[in-house]
Amino acid sequence: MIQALDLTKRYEDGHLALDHLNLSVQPGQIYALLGANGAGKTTTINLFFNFIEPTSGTATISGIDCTKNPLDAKRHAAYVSENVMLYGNFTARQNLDFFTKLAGRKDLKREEYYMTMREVGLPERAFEQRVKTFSKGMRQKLGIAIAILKQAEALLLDEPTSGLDPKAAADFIDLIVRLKTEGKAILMSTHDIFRAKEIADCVGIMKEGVLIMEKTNQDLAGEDLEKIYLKFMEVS
Amino acid sequence: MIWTIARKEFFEKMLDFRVIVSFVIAIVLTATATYVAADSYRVKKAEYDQLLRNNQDELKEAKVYSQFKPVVCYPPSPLSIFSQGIDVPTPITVPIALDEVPQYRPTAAGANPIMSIFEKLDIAIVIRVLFSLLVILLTFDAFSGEKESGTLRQTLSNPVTRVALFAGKLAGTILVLAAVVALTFLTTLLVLRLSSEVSFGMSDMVRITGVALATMIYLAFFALLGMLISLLFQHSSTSLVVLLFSWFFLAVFQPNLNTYVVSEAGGTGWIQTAQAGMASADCGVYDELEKYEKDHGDPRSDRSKPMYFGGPGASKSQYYGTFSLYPEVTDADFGVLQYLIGQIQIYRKFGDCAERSFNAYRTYYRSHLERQLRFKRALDLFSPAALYSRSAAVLSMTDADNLESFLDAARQYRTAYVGFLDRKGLFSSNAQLYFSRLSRDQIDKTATDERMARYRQDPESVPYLSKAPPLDLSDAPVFAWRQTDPGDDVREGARTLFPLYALIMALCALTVWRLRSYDPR
Repeated sequence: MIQALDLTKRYEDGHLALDHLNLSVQPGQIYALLGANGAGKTTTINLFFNFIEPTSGTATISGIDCTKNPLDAKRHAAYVSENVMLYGNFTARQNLDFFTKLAGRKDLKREEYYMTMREVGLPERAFEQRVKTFSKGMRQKLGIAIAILKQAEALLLDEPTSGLDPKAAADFIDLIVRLKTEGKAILMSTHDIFRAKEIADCVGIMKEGVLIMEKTNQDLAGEDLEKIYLKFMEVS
Repeated sequence: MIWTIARKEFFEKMLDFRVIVSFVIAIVLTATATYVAADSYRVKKAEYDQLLRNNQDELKEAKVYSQFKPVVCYPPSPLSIFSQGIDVPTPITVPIALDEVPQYRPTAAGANPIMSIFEKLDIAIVIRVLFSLLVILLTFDAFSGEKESGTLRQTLSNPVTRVALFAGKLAGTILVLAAVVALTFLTTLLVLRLSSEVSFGMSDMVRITGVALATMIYLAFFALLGMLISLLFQHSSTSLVVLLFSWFFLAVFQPNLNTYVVSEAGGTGWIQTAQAGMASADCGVYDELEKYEKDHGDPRSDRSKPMYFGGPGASKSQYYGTFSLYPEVTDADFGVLQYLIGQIQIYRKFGDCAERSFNAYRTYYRSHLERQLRFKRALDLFSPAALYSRSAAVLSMTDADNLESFLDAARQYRTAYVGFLDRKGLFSSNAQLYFSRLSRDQIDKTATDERMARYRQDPESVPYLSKAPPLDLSDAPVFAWRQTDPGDDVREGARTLFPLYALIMALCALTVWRLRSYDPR
């Protein structure tokens, strides 16, 4: 489970990036965080991975405090960024090997890497190809492959479909949904309102570091999420 | 975990175009430097061998003891290819003589002969200047580059401590450096083997391994510096600029600055003071000779010849051939010489005079050189490049201490030489001027005037030097200089680098401290 309790982040320059955020994502759920650039979505994900420390409040993954026990918390969470950046001179399999070993899985065989790459839809020819030749869509898929092999219960995605072509984005979303059905708790920041409504069990809208709206899929049934979003964005 | 990161770092760097280019440059430059340094060594070695042969031939030909003039020669080290250190372009020859104790000769410019000046092309300078630059180019974006590319976040989203990340990156970089250094040294050995001009024994290989390890430590310093600076600045480009300035100061400017500061610190007045002090040690042998001449008038039988062999302007040391006088080649008045030997005890006085002069040298000149050297070594404690150069020189047997130990051995040899002459009774008679086959009694009984008259009249009646049998020098002392044990030099080389270990530890601590709060976004 992914949980934020009064999570607050104020930067050294005084800017309040996140203001008492409370959210919870249960296993088998997708939580979509919407919001304009600078609303605090990425800051939220950064706090879960302890890339930065919160000013106050708590971020937990599977009940583990991400600030007090960051290493333990990271064992239970996988990260996919807007641009999955990997080592360009390494092949896809070598990147998988490195990051899964970092995640603590050292016993994987070459065939298991291949199987996972097939699973996420990477073409066979790409398995032993250097990642620097990959398109963004292929890199994002490889990022998901890393997350799958990590076998983490929680998945935090930072605008993972941003910049992907529609087909690649659709493939990617299919993967996310499949992971949800496998019981993963998924927190995804996104600008894609339509997909958020389509796949999320819960949608939150952030503005200037504050979660200004949170609705479940049932609450949103029959509602136009885009209108709601734009309405919130217009309110000064 | 650390090994996983180290392995990634190693392979990532080995696949990096920058590293491949660096490798090629390193190998080409090393091969060039090896070729040049090997050629320099070959010339020095040939000169050294020639000098030894000449001296041995001269000693074999010695017919009278005044011809027994050994010259010892500082052997060029084959390891000077790695570090020329204080090694000079031509071999240092030290004549073993009664009238001088082996020592450095003061130069008018006051340059300190035992302070290396970092100008010679050898492997050490290629490493000191170029390899350190390559390491900077490898590490300037160690963290900032990964931050910019986003891989740092991907890495830190896993259960990896920042200390492990640092240790892994450092270990991976060290592995790359080890590969570069190993390849460099193997290239050197290969070039040397192909040139067949230099061969190394087991002890040399121990020393070469020591130089390679010192190289690793030196390069590790720059690797750590690169890693730290890459954490201090937001952008890799800024890190690179800062590191290039740091590299220029540390690897190029600072060692020469230290030498300059030390040379300038005492001014140049000291050299005059030293020369005056050493001159004051003159024990007046020549004055005594002049006084004799004044009191007794011109003692020569042939007054058409100048008083000094070389003419009026010649050095006093040529006075009456007190150093080399043979009956058949001089027209000196033997009666005068016998007086000098017997009454003034001139040979004994020359020996005593040399000792006094050496004491003055130690007091006025050598002590200053040592003070300068101590000052420089104190400044060098803060210069990784200078520490590395000195360590490489110690291991290559080309440092000042090695030369000093050679001079010590030469001094001991001179003492044995003087003792040998003394045992032969050569200070109290003119025996050393005559053929060895004549007994002392025979010499004493020979009226020199009569002998010279006979020689002038009929040179064939006097046995020519060339026809005389060589001296039996089997009981003469032999020069022996045992070079330091490689184990001792490895320990000394390692000790020399102590400040560098401290700097490395400090850099490690600073890097970890900075990395702990480093924002990977």
